[in-house]
Amino acid sequence: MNKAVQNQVKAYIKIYFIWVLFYLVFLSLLYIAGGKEFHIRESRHTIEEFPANMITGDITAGRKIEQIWLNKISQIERVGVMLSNYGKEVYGNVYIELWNEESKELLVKQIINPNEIGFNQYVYLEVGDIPVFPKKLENTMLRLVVSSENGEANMSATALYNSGQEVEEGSFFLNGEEVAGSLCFSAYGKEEVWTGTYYKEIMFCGLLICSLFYWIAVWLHWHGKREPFFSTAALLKKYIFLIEQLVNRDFKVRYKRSVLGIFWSFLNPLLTMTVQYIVFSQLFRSDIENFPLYLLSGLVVFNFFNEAVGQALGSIVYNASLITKVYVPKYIYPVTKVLSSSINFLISMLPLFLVLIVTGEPITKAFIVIPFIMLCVIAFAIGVGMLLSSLMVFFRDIQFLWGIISLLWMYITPIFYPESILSAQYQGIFHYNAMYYYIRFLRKIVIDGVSPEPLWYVQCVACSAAALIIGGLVFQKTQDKFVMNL
Amino acid sequence: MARKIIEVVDVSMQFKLEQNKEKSLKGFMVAALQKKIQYEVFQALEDISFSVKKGEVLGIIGKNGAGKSTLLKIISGIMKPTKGKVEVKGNIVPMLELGSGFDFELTGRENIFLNGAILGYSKEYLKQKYKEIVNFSELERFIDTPIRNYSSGMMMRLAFSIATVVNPEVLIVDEILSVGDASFQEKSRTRMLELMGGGTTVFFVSHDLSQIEAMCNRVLWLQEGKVKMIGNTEAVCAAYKNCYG
Repeated sequence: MNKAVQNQVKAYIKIYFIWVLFYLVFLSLLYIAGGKEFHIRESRHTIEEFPANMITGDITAGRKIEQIWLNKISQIERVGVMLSNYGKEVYGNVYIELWNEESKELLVKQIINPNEIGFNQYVYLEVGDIPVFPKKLENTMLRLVVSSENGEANMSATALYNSGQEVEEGSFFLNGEEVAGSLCFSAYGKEEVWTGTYYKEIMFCGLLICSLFYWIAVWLHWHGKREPFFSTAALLKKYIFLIEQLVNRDFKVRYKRSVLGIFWSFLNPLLTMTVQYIVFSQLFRSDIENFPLYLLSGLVVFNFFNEAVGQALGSIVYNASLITKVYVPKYIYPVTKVLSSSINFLISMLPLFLVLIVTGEPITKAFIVIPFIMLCVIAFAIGVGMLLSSLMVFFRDIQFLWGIISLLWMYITPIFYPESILSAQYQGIFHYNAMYYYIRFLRKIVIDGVSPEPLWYVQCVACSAAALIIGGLVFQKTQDKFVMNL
Repeated sequence: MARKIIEVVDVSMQFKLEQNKEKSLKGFMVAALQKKIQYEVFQALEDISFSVKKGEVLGIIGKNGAGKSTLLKIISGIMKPTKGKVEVKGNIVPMLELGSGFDFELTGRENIFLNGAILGYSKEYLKQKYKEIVNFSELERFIDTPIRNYSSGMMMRLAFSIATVVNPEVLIVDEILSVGDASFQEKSRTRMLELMGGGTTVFFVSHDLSQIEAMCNRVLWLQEGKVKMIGNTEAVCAAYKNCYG
């Protein structure tokens, strides 16, 4: 083997180990930041509170109100029953019991003072420590029993039910007689997330797949064939200086001749937020926990996206004089515009942290993943930017349409209003909105101080990847025609 | 025998001249629905094939609209030909228009780096040549002034200095550029000639036959998008003169 070949092989191996190291560090950090959120999440099988339309009658001594259902929650934590004291003073303690229907074992029993109940309120039974392992109560029939030791007619509390409600494999008994409908009850708990349990295995499989792709790329590169990995790296190396210069230019030009200069990046979101905070905290008397932080985390992400796409949109058209004279890969124009805005994005994180500190939220280890979500948003903006900038070449209407679309987009994203503003059946529309996923993700970190569950990561990556692929393909297909249409 | 550095194979270029070009979505939709989008095809280049060896200076002559600039744009990669392909081995520096990458808000210094990056120079190369660029442009005193305050002559001097500091494998020159006042014109002319005589491969478009005769090894004569003649300088120039008197 001659020297050049040896060096080439060494380079391949070196790059490989750098990648592996990067991969392991990244996933380990993710695991640390993820904490227990990677192992346990809110169960998908919770039974939400539902309204009542019937009363079961007074719970007098000896009367039994029972509900049996198939529990699918791995770690059941709380079970609630809707009780009422009719808004008057009543007597006789109410007993709530939770039985394992299959083993006939009493799980919990609670005695409730009826005068503490209130009018049609859910009263909760804390199930206590039932660990996720073994899956003791998952897929088990449970029986909820409401009774009273000494309740008297007209002077005792009542439970409520809904005659139209169906619960999975549920049956409802009044004094041992089955009745249509279901007792108004609810059940909450946690379940295991397999991503956390099998994290090591997933990490290992991912490493295997990445390695496989890497060595295929090496093989292709070695034989001088087209492959995506090394050719992208070579392009990046060639044009990184140009990208750097263009980003630099945008950033310098933006604040030239303004007195406060770069401080605007910081002041802008802060002042916008202050105005919106004043307006919306008066308009919506919403019960959002830590509204300033809720609002600002939404604004920072959305403002970045709006600005980046707005800038990228015209990047091809406004650089026409360059594009028709010098050959530069055209995707550089929208990409640099988004990257320039990303610097602002980074700076606008400062007011977010300021508000975080002022409102007294702690900074936790989950904050490690903030760069991850920022990268996702940036990638999404690049995708949308490429799509719109190429369309803009052919239809200049896009610039005006975008103004309207971005406004609409802002209003359908829960930035300054709570998600619950839409009733449950319409909340589905949030799930078609990539910005919703990103904002929700960031809020989980900054407001709750914990990492989101793994599914949220996947959703964010998927949205970004989809945007990049669609934007990239459209751009790729149309870029040869740009010159003729500029 | 020097190796071929550029090979142009069967290159054709068509432009669609749209009547009433629609640039709005609505207009396009309406026209598409009515099947009213009509194109008049303009054949800018037709089946051009030739190759250029390393170190050769190829002159391109022809009347206005013969396709000279289109050919240069295709060779430099700005446009993709409708048909055929161009194979290039080596980096190309097109000198089609000076200062198109300038940003008026930035200073001369910042523009040197920006424009240099656009022309494809590396950071190290620019740093190394920075002094040379500034000296050549004679703009030392104004280099940290935003170029919106420059006169147009100053701007052209800066642009010229950046564009000609290169040492490319292929240089594309659309007319010899001479800018600025008389003394700078002379200086820039000398620089161009130096560059073209320096062993790089050059594509040189000019209407000045005496320049072509002085510089080129070979000449390509384009007429209405076709190769009318290609060969050694004297023969082609003689024929060209004959044709147009």
